[in-house]
Amino acid sequence: MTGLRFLLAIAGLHVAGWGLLTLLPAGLRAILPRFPATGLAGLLFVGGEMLAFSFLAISWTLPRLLALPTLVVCGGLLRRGGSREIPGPRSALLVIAAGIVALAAYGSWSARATSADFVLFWGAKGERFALARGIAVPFLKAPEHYLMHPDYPPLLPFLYAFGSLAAGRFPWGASLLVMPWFLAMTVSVFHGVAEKRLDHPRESALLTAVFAGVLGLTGLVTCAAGSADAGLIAFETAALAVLLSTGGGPSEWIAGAAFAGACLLKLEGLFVSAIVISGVILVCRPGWRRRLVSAARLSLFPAIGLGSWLLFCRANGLIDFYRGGQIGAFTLKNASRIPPAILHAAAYDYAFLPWIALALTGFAFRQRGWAFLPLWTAGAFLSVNVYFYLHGTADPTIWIWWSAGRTLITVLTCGSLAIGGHGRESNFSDRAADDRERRGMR
Amino acid sequence: MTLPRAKRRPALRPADRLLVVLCIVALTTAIVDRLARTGPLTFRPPATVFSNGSPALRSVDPYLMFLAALRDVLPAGATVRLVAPGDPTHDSWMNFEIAIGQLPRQKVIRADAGERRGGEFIAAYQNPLEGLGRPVMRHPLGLLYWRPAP
Repeated sequence: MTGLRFLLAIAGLHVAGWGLLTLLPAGLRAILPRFPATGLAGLLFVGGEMLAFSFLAISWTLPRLLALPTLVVCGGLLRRGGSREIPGPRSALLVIAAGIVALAAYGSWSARATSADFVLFWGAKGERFALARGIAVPFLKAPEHYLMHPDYPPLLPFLYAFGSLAAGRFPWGASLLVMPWFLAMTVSVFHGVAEKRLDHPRESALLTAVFAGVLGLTGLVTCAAGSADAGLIAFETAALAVLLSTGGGPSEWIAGAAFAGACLLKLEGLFVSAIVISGVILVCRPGWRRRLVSAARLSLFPAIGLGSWLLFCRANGLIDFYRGGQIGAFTLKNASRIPPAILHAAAYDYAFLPWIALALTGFAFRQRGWAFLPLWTAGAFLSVNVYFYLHGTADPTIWIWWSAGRTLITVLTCGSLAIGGHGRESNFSDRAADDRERRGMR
Repeated sequence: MTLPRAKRRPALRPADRLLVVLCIVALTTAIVDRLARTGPLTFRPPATVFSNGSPALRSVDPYLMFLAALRDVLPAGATVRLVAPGDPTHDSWMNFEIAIGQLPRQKVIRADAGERRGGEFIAAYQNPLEGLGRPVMRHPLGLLYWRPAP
């Protein structure tokens, strides 16, 4: 029963997100498929409330947290006549992707893919936050809890705390289903962009199945259930999908909101956001004025989200990880150890199957070309990872084995988006995108 | 005004489509193999969140069960000192970190934390040491003692 209430709370996030999305113009509302758009928006909405309450020293209770979403949903119901749904072509082949997500869900539920970090800090933090009815500052500050990373992004513990408040206690087993929830939203986002860009229902469904297989397998092998990696991938995919679907314009606000989610889920979200934004600014957008406008639209929400969290940490003496310096000085001493360790982590137990499948799929879709922005993101993010591994004098092999498998899922995701996100029109610099921006997203 | 809809491009060639389908089959097979290799294929809920994990995580399974038993016995707000097998003065950092999450209503302290002033519980996992206090819970995986304040 506790687990069911926890899952109902997650379903409630979709309702809150739906209400929030009704505040947007119809064109912006329909960029992403409804299921992931409402889920991710709801998580950001409630997570933002929890952070704001913590600033204002208001303790978290379910009625308080639900008051504003309820108002927004009621307003959305009144405005419902103005909403617009864009029916898209669908293919029965989507059942393959859904089946793969179901397999991953079974793997998570049956404790086959539980992250050690879930028990060591993600779940523990969420549980303590729920008991404290706020960010448990004394708990985070205690020296003996140092390994829980006091200033690490809070959105996943917020989600666990919200679910725990609804459930009465933290359901360790049911919360493992958060991973397939994020996975389903990611796959749905991917299908949305692939359908728009490839403009072919069967091909986009097949490509979505490959993407679901890649994410499902890597999620199971790297034991991502319970950790923030699946959520990070969901927000990254959403941000890139928005940019690839629309080529910029006012939709960049939506991409920026997704980047805020990524930054509030994991440290890596900050790097991915910076890389994508730099890609948009430096390469994809013509004219300095438009580049600056794009930078402002894409950066505002992540800056507000992460900035608020860091401000809270600073005010409460929690800054630790973001101070930097924990990984030692840059050195090339261990450079030769990095490629074999990364290859070991990237094999994903099945002789590089995710990479081979993605490469073959990319080859099959070669006539349609590949989108630049995800490829730039993949390359730059891999380089950033290698750069970090080049710090410290200790042998980084164990560190890489521990972390690279999970961070490389971002690279695989970007590779998939490069295939599925390129299609009828080129991205960003094309006239169609310019026209669309002038017309304010039609 | 709406954008003119571009002419739909041709579908994948049959050979390319077959390639993509083979990729899907390979990935799905690997996922099913992974599921089959890591535990029994049943719909019975696992005992703990690590029950079907990697061997390293599965080794934590008994400890999680022990902590679940403690959770049912310990009063809220109680102080619990953890001791590791074979040594009443030390514990492992991993066991300590795990216990923090599993005993959220209690104050968990390490074996070597501060002076032993009493008024605390001592959880001895796989460690039936005598003289730690009055046994209040006997579990196949360990004992819980109560050391009253002097």
